[in-house]
Amino acid sequence: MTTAKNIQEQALAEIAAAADIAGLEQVRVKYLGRKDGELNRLLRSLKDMTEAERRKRGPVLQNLRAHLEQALDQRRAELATTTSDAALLKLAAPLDFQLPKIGHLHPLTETIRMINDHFLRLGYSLMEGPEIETDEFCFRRLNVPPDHPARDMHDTIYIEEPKYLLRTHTSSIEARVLEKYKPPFKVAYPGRTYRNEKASKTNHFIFHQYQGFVVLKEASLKDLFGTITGLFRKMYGPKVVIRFRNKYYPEVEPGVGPDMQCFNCAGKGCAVCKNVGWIEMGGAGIIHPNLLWMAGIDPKKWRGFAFGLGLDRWVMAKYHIQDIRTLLGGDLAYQYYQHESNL
Amino acid sequence: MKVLYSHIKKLVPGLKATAREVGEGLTLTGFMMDGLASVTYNGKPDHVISLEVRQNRPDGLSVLGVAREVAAIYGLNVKLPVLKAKPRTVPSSGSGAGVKYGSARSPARVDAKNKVRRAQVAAFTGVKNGPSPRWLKEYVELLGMNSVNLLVDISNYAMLVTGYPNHLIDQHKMRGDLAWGYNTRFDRMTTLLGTTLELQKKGEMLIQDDVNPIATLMVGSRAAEVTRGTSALVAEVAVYDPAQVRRDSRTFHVSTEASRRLEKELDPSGVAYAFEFLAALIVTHAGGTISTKLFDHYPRKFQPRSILFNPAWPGRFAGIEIPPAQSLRVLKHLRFKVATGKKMWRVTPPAERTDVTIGEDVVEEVVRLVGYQNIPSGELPAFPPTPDITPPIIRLVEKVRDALAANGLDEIYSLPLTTPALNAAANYREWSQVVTQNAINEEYPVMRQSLLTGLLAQAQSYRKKNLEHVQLFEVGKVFGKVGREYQERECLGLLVHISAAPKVTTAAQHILEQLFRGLGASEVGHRPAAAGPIVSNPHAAWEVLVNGKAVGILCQLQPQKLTGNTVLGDTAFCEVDLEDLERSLRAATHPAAIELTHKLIILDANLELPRGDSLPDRLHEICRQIGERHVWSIEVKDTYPAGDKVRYTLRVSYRDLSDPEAKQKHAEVFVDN
Repeated sequence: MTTAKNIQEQALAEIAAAADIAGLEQVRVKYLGRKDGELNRLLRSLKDMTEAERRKRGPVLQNLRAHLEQALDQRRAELATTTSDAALLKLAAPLDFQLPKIGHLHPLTETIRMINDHFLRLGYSLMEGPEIETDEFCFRRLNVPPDHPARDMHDTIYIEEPKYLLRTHTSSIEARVLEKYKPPFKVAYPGRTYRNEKASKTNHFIFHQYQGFVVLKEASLKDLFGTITGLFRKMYGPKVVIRFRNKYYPEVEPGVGPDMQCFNCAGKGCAVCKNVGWIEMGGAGIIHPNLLWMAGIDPKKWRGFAFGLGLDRWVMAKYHIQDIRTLLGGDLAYQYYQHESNL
Repeated sequence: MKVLYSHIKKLVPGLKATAREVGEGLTLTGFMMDGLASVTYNGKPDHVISLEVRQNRPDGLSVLGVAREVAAIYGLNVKLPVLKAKPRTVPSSGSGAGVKYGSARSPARVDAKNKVRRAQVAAFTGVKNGPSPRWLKEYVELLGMNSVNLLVDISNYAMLVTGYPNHLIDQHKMRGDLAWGYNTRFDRMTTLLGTTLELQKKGEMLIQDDVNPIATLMVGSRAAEVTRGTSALVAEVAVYDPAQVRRDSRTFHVSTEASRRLEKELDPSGVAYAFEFLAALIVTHAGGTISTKLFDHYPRKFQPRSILFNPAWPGRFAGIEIPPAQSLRVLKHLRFKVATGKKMWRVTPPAERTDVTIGEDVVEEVVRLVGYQNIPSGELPAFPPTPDITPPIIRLVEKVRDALAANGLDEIYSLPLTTPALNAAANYREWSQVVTQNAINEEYPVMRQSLLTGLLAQAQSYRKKNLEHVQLFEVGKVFGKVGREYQERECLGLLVHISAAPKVTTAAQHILEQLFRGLGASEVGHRPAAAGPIVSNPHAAWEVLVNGKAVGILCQLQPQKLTGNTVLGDTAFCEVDLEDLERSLRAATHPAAIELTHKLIILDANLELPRGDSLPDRLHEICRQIGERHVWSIEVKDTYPAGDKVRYTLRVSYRDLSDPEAKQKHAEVFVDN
């Protein structure tokens, strides 16, 4: 069995005998190479020894490694002054170099900013609201009284049933703005919402929505469709194909369901769109007069529309994130720099 | 909801559209097609159209309702089915099937009168149950139900076609009357599906006889199940207070085809047609006769409801021209009665349209049939300017994000729900935690009281994956309860970990200083914190001050205090309340420029303070003594321990004072000090 002493003697002899840098490198790999270096093999065998043997042998081997590295450095320096490898050595010297650390914003922040900028340019205000909500502003003010079938769509997490809960949609912000401010206004807002679901790779009990609404002297479905089309073109490009269909939500009347033509099959039908050819993108409609009445706003004088969409799946698709749980911590990390931008 | 294309064609004579076209037409008008299957029915090729019925439209969950919708889309009429029952005397509600009722009393009563909006009951004798004919078996199976036997399949078929659930009960297994009332007697019920419901006796409704629960409002009981041997039965069709149905459905955790229909506002007047339809089917296919009178509990008769409607509204709501004549045509196709007037119309929806109650509902009916696809969608609206109501904190948050990212920090989002143990370790405010009552995800039952929980977890994950450079921030809410009031605060959390760096809190402090100065703070300072998180070093925790106001906390962590934490011996954490920060920044006044009338006079002085006294406080006092408009700067040039005191060498720069004036001031202030 090769002993540390054997290795020391042989290695030192070969280091001294190396005639050039390439030869010296071969010696280094032979004894200190990570995979098959003789000294490293000995070091790996430490794990098969007893505790007492390891305590004895370990320091000896570590000292030998340091000794050999020193000998290599010394020989390298000698060769640098005496051989034509000097110029190569200068190039081979390690660079003291570190890529600059830049900070990154979360993918959801980047997405929300893009949409915020779009609406700010259209003259909208931005808004926010509480996440611990009341039944009043999460449901009743949105035309969903107790025992309304629409409540089944929500799966609420309660803090103090029935009064306090975690908001199930960002429409509660709409209810609060209607209560607090007098029209006219145009408002847009992102927000975090909660539903009582088990978290998995594709679903979560916390998700992010983006909503907006206007209350003006006149606002029509044509205005609403134009607004949504503008937003989708911003998010998906100018060639996106959208359709609008009648869809029920208690807080709007008429209600609208905007769909995007499936990007995978261009509307022919596939697994992505469940063979329908279209992908549901959210909800919208003319604000129900009950919401305005409850806020003390006369729907005969004011009309508005509202729209909303989910953000998480869009962000996941754009940033190639496979697991929805990543959006809220754990495995999310950032590269120092990008070779090419997919964004 | 599934419908058979051939059945729709039968109900809507003259329909030429293909199954796909019918499905797409329904999709645009509110019944989204989510499946189209090619099938064989009764030996012929056919299609099953699957529809998502989201609306509060009870008629939408019936084949007849969908047929009416298709007829309206294509401008056609519905032809109701004519049943070849044995002719008897009426009463009939117009189904074309005359059925004769017997003379005996029907075994039924309603005790909870305000919960049952209508119920019809009659008993049948001499029926023969057995396997269903092929057309019936295939039909119910294609529409998603199991074929059981003739009578059960008839019951389901009647429900699918009319939209009204019903019960068939084996009369030989009944004792006494069929009674609707609150449950006060029974503890459990075995359903037709074989499951056992634990009954609460707390306001749930039952259909019961003298001995057994016969059914809840949404599912029948095995006690009086109709089987192959059934030769006498009691049939009922009823509609209820939808809120009661929903409550009972939630109480029992049961959702059935019946409950989904009964939870909507089914029109009570439609019970008559539904019962006749059912009765005619029984008599036609299972034989027998009706042995009793028709029991009809109908306390409040349906009154047609007319709605005031302005024919100009559809065009205004849609944003395109919709002439009154077109609105009228659409409403008539939908079977609305319309009394036109000069300016306003009176519109009466058909009885089954209990969802249409206000003018805006009528507008939606018109516009959806005119077609959303006919409304232009490519133009951004040109709205007038409106006041900016954006809260200042939103703008502040974006500036904070930009500043920190520019300084090399990465943003994370973390879970706002956490565990009580993590909250206990991370909290430093005087509030209790907010607990959820019913979260499915039991591992996160409480709302976070600090952003530290998420930042620490993310940093751990980074270290496990060999990412060494850990500088993270998060902007988000923290939650707590004070007394009976729930609070949430928008905060900034920072976590900085630098391996083997003894002054990691200095690095964090530097980041904060840059951030606050960039936001316009004129003063940034620190003082020892009264309390920090449990995982912090109690000797290295400070309150962060901006413009003299406390806005947050900065501390060095000892995260090994947190069980299982393998990371982060040299870690600093900071949390800033952004609402407090916004107020501090807003309150500060920043003179943009000053007029310097004299050169600066620079003088040195010594100051001795007892150990433990606050140097910043003392320097502020000195500034006040000198007069703040005459102080350009005070720098601490040297520090020297002197027994139980500390001696500081200060360099004071005076402005807008002559040389003698500055020296005089200096002597006055520093002699006293």
